[in-house]
Amino acid sequence: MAGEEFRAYFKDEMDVPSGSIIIQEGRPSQWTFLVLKGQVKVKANTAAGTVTLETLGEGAVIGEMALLEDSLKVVGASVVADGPVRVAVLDREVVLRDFHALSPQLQETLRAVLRRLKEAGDEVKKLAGRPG
Amino acid sequence: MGGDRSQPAIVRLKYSPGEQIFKAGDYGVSVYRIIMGQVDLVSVSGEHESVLVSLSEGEVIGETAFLGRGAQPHPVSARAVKTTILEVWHAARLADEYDRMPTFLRHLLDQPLDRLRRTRKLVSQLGAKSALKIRPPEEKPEKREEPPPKRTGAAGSAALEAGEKTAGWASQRRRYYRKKVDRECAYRPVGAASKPPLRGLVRDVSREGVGMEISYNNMKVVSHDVGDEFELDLTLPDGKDLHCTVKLLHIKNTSDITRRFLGLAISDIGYESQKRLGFFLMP
Repeated sequence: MAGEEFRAYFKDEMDVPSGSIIIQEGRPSQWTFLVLKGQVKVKANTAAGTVTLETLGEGAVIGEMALLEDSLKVVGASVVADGPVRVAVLDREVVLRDFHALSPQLQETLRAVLRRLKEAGDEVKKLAGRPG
Repeated sequence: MGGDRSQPAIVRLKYSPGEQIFKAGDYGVSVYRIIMGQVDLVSVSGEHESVLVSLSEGEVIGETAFLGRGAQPHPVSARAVKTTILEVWHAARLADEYDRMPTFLRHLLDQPLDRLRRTRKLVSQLGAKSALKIRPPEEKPEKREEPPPKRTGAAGSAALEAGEKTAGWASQRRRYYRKKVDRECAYRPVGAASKPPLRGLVRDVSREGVGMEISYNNMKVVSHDVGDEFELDLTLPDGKDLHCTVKLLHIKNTSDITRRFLGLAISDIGYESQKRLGFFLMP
């Protein structure tokens, strides 16, 4: 899945056992990952308990929101390996170098997408946690 | 981004309290930055409205429609809460830059957009209950755009009437932005590709409709009943070709008894034509 161009953004690759928490909800995210093999579940804690928001597979990037938007440093949902998973650890400096090379307008537009995603995710957690 | 005269200049638009900026379902190709004021992003599901977020100076809206390249509708509506000034960033510039970015970065950035779309759909499905009360405008909304060109004997713009709907907030009426065209077009009934086309004069276009003037003789050649559909070909004033299917909504007399004015709704349009129309309609 990852060609040479993509590998230029990798710092490392690692295998994650099934059930392992790759990113923890409520904690600052320090890493950004690309799923190379397997799938992960995105889970959030709500008033009604832990809810699975979605399942992501090969090619999915996780932790990009915290990397690119300062207001989203604290992760809004946990990402858990659903079966054995292999991930690439991204070189954040390389990603940020390319992102900051974009125009201010495009950077701002893309950051806005990430903030809207956070807000929509919070809305889902609120609705999913309602009784009945 | 400066120095390229082929790129449109950045413009600013002013909105009154309660005025709609864009509606869920509209195809948008501009991104807006809030220079002054406040904007609510509203999710509508049936009769339920949910204010997703209220944004103020420095924030950006309309970004998801841009990232869909004008081929995806706004998933939410945007409404000015107070007197608001927006800076318009044209999609042409941002789209070009987006296409040129490194492939991996684009792969990384495409995903939050897809995720946002899925998450918003989930919000709608969960049926948000909102404590939203329709805020009455602090002052009467003023018209933001110029009134449609007057046509003697016509009771207003047919394209405008074709596009009017009642929005979720009772005090607003839906108005699609329309732009003057005044260009000849060719049209023929759907399914009559082998027949020679008829000629018409497109007066104006909007995202959802076309106002067209025709010779009364055309109505003797083919049926022009309300509900009839036509294939329409038009070269826009910027030189771009547009092809779409339109449905006849109503017919009006004009001051010239040999001519009629048709109000048409766009019922089908391809991706490229949609993009060209979107760019043409940009302020």
